[in-house]
Amino acid sequence: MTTNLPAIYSFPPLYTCQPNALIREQQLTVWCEIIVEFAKKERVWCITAEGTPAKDGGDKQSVFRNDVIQRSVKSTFIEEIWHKMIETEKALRIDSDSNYFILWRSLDSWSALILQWFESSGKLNQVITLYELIEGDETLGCEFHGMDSMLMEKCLLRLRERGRASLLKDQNKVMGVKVV
Amino acid sequence: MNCCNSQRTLNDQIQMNLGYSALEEVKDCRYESVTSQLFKKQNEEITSQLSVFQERLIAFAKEHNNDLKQNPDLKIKFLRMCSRIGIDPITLFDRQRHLFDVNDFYYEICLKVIEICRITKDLNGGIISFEELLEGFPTAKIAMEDLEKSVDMLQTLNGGFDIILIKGKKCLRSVPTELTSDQTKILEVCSVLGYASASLLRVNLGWTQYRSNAILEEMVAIGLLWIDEQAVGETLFWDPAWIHHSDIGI
Amino acid sequence: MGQRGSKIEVTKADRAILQLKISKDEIHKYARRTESLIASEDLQLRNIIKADPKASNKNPRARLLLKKIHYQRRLLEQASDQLINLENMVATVEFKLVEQQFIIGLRQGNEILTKLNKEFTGVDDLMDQVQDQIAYQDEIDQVLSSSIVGSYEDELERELKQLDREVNGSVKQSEMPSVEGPTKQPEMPSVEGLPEPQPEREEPAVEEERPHEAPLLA
Repeated sequence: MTTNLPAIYSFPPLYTCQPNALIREQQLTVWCEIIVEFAKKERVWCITAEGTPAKDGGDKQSVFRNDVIQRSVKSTFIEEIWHKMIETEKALRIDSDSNYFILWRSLDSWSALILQWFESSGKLNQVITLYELIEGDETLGCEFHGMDSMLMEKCLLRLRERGRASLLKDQNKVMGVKVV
Repeated sequence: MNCCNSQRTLNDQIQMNLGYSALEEVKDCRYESVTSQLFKKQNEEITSQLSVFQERLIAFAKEHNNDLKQNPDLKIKFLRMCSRIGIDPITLFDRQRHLFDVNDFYYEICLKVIEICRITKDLNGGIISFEELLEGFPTAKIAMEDLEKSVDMLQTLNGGFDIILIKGKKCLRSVPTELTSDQTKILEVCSVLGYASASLLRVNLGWTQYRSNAILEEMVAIGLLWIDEQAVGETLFWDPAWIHHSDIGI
Repeated sequence: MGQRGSKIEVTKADRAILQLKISKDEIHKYARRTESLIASEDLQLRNIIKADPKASNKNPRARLLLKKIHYQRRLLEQASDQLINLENMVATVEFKLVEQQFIIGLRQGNEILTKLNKEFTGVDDLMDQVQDQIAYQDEIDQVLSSSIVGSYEDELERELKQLDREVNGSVKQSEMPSVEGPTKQPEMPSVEGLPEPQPEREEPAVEEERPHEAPLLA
């Protein structure tokens, strides 16, 4: 996990909350960068409050733990980091299970990217299921391929707000979308 | 737009296609993508124009080197133009050909040094090694001697820049507070393993626990050291210069 | 269903396609699951054979696994057939929608065309009248032009004769009343300058001028 992250990830005092306010501000910024970088490289859409990827079972390593240098972030400081993540719109809290979506692109940027796919692949005015968007062969290689379906729904809602999309429900669950 | 109206009646259809409301709807749908495309195109064009312009400016500087040297007014205007369109003046200098007045080259380095110090101040408490400074430059053309000469010039400003020696390694201090000899000694200890601790100071300098902790904590408070409470046995105090060392051994 | 604030219409056809696509996605998911299952069972089988190369023929677990793999493969094949069927269905429906659109367009065009055609009734009378008017206008034109041309021509001829008498003063030229003045005039200086070859020059000139007269008379 440490291989792709910036060098400061191996700097032991990063895992202790620094008393100097200016330095702590820098430290929080560095943590936000690390989490975003981690999520982007590992293509993790959703992270638990403890810092583990939410989907792949519980055996994954937390981003807040660095076994190489035997350090981990204390929970009170983790809270502060999440606060900063939300504040800078790098993360989105999920109400249902108190996990976080990590936004290495903003929602607007994602929805623009999705819209671009609809436009460039001639899918305007057709019903496309969320499954097709996320798992389908046609979006292979797109940055949003494999996205968490709930996050995808949020992006599509943005498109609906702009009057470009209409969501289709089946059994009270959003299943498809039509984009014009 | 058209194929979604399959359920509409003929009249609707005619209205849709001929009425002003149809125009409105089309506008809503297409404007956004059209504007974004337009902006993108403009952006690309401007970028390419700028890069051509930058090249020209650099060529101009090389060609009219003598004029620029002799006419300070022209030189100032030229440099102002460069910085406005995003050319780092350092890239314009060429030591072999002594582009501009050679001193200008060092002045530009000075500016860059001040900038790097300002950016990194919150991370390292205002003390930065010369190696780290050198990494901050955009081009590899700057040699260590250039940097040293520039920093010498900086010192004449009396602006609170100071060269300090920590275990023979030159560092630049950009905060006005003078380092005490105790603080310097701690930084020297840090330059070996990256950190200092009360026990390390007792062994190396013979300091008491009380003296060590007082100075270490003060240095944490002014941002010169980072505190690490998770080490086995005792609290460690790290020198932020080690952030960029990937080979930290505990 | 939950379309507040959205201007985009969701039709029955859209819902039908959604259902089709949901089934298609289910089969797609199933195919993926089965594929990974086959892969893992295949791996198990290989491990068994590797561990016990001699007895593997009789090993009931190996046989069972192989059977299972075969069965799953068959299912997978069926699934992919179904998948193709569904995909074809979706494509057909979508194409039908386009066709429907085409028909609507055609019908609309036709309607407007008939409407426009209705306005053309009585166009024959109109055309006849217009024709008459044109013919009448032509007549008037002809009458006017012939009368003007007649007197004008006479006048021209008179003037020419007078000019001829003034310049040449000879009776020889009286043979050529039909020669037009405007074409003759530019030649006059050269005639003056070279008095000797005069008769030779004049004969081709007469011939040249005849074709010019023909359209005028017609």
